[in-house]
Amino acid sequence: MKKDAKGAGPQVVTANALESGLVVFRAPDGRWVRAIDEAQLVRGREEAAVLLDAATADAARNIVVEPYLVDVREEDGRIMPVLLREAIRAAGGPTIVEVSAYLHAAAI
Amino acid sequence: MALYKNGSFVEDTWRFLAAEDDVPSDGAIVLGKARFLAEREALAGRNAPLGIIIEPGEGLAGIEADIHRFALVVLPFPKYTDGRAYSLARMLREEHGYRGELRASGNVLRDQVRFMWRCGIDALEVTHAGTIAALQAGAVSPVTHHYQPAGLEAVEHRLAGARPWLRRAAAHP
Amino acid sequence: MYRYDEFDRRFVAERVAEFRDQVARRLSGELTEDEFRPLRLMNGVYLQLHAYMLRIAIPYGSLNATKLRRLARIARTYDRGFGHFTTRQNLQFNWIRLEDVPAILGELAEVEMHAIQTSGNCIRNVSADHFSGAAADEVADPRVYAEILRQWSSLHPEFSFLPRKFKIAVTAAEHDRAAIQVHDIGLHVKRGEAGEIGFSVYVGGGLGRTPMVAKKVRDFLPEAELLSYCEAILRVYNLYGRRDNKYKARIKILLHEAGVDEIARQIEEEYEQVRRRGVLLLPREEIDRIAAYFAPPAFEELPARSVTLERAKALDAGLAEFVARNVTTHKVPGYASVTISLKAIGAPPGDASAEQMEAVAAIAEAYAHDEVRVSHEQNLVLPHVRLDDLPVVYAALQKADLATPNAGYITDIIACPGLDYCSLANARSIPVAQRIAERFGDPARQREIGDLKIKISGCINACGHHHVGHIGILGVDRKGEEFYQITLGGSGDEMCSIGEIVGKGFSSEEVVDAVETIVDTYLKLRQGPGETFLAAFRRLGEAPFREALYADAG
Ligand code: SF4
Repeated sequence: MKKDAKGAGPQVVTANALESGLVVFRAPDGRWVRAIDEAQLVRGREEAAVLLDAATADAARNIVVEPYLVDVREEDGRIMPVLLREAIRAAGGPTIVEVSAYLHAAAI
Repeated sequence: MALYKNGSFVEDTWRFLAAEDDVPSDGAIVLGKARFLAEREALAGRNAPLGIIIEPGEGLAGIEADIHRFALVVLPFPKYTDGRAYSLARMLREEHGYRGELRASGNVLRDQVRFMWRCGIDALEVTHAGTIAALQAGAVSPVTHHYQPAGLEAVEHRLAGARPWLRRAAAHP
Repeated sequence: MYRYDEFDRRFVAERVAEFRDQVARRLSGELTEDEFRPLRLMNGVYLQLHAYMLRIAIPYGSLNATKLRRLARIARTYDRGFGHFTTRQNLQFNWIRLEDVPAILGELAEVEMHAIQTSGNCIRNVSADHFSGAAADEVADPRVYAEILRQWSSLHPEFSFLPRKFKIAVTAAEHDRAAIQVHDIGLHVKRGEAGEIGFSVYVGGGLGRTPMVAKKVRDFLPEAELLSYCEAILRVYNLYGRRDNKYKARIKILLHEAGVDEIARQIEEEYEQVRRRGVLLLPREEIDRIAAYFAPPAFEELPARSVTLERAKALDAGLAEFVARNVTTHKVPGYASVTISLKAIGAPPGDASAEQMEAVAAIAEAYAHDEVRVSHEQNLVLPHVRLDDLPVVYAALQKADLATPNAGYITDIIACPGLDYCSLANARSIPVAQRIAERFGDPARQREIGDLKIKISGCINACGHHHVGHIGILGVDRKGEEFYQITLGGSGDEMCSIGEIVGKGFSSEEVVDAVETIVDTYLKLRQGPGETFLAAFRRLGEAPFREALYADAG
């Protein structure tokens, strides 16, 4: 599932926050943020390994759960995951209209 | 590693025989199942307590008739999620009438202890600091109401007039 | 409905306390994720794609208004205002904070609910026919046995770390609405020659990577021996089920590799031991005591035909349509069971908002003896409604957008959460279901097509039961792209069959067209509207469908 971490192109590190479970990304200052655009972008194996080590240490300190690297590309200054799975995670919710929103639309 | 038995941490008086060790003529020793089977005849004349280690995959086949000879049966739990030894424990207690010490080895975690106890295990090898602390504090598990009769009937009782499969634990391990 | 007594209440309270402590130990760092995972899984907490998910047990799919309202409140307070009913008759919340879980479990305990064993390698929520107690063709109420099994399997000390999950289903009717033959244990409640109750026992069914139809290991197990026999099956499985490969760990593989005769022999041998001990034998009065909880409500004596309903139907074509499709015959004259479709065209299958749950609760209280069921088809059921009340029930359902008259139609699609929520998924399920429903949304077209079950899974774990869909759709990952493999001719009822894979997969753009091609082929080749899709497929085989799909692709 996490097979996108080949290490060639640009990457970010993602995980889920321990308390809320929400998707988070590691920012350059070491904070974990919800927006992928604020994530630290690394290139090449070495940079990626350093970032992942830092993230793994955060997991050991029980801040996040199961961090891993995600392949991304830059588009118009924004960070976009390569794989659909990661794009859905980064988007922060499903690609579908949820039922409450659906009902709302139906009522209009 | 600590050995927990009968409500407290105790000294382990058993000697676990390494593969290269010869069987001593006296003293309480513990052997693997394969070695026991290989040396069964020779061991028969030995007049000292004998224990056996039964790995989860080994099962009880071939030793059913010998179970009364053991004063200790060690059931390793190599992984938290490997639940075979729970069945072996119950079969030893309920089907073979084994009454000696039944010991769980491996890194026993406190969340397994209640299950082990209920299946008839009465001694625990523990390395996890949190589990040792919990055992010392007598705070292993708050669950004392059970929906099935299981191994150690002595520490659980039926409730008068209630569904017959219910059990109430008298005390914690 | 089963009601907790003091024992049950204390048990659940103790379990909540235990889990609260486990969560605290995780948050404090005493437990690592690796140590905590099996503990949270034993209590229905998953870490999904976006957040933690909490799966709540709805034993054999039985709910009442109080429980539904509480679920609605939890949806609103701790989640995003909706929940998802699953194919295991459970409910899951998708956006739960770990730190909130103990409080939620406390709220559930107040209404006699919990999340015990809704995941993990243990005996899962026991499921049963959603028309139990109402079905004209049942010989007894299967919930009685499901409840006894639920109790016995709760935190079972021996069977909490099985090789893999273990699912039991019970039906008491010849027409199997509980899909018992695709369960690890399927129980068919029957009556013997003297009218006594017993069970045909099926073992080793299951979907997933290697779908298999269960084998019958006992034709008539006496009622009193239910638990002894199940304990023997579980013990054999716990000892000998494979633990080296999680895709080969279900009991179906054990049966397949060792042979059904050998496993049946081992079960019988173990069973003798358990039975000799005798403690699990079920005394008559205890079965009766549980059965009393499921005693039928006080039904009125009513004529079989309701003038009120007939008049209303004549005036309202929508009601007539709804009754024709979503209303099922009841064993008592003047009553009916109503299927509430959670498959409004374009909505995610199985989702219900807090407002909808509350609407159903109010209807159940006023018109349905306070009973609601969850079906494994991800719909809700009001098992006991007076025919006279159907017009008002219909109107109330309409107001909550719950009156879609499509039960069993092509748009009544089962879909797992898929890649929109599930961390194991290869492809999305829900959007495919939505697009298919929209394509076939025209009521006249659905009517013309008739009974047709489409089931969609986002990966080979088959939570969407695609193998037993008349048309099954499986999401696969092909070089990072979503692809969908189609199977035809599956069925989960008493004529259980596993669907056959036709041809190569289809891209996300192509898959709805492919379904349409299959449907059009059926309409062209059927021997008339009386021949359902499944009957036609069984007569024709896959060749004409494959040809049509292939020609289409070419
Ligand atoms: S079938 Fe696969 S994708 Fe769908 S819910 Fe199950 S595990 Fe997730």
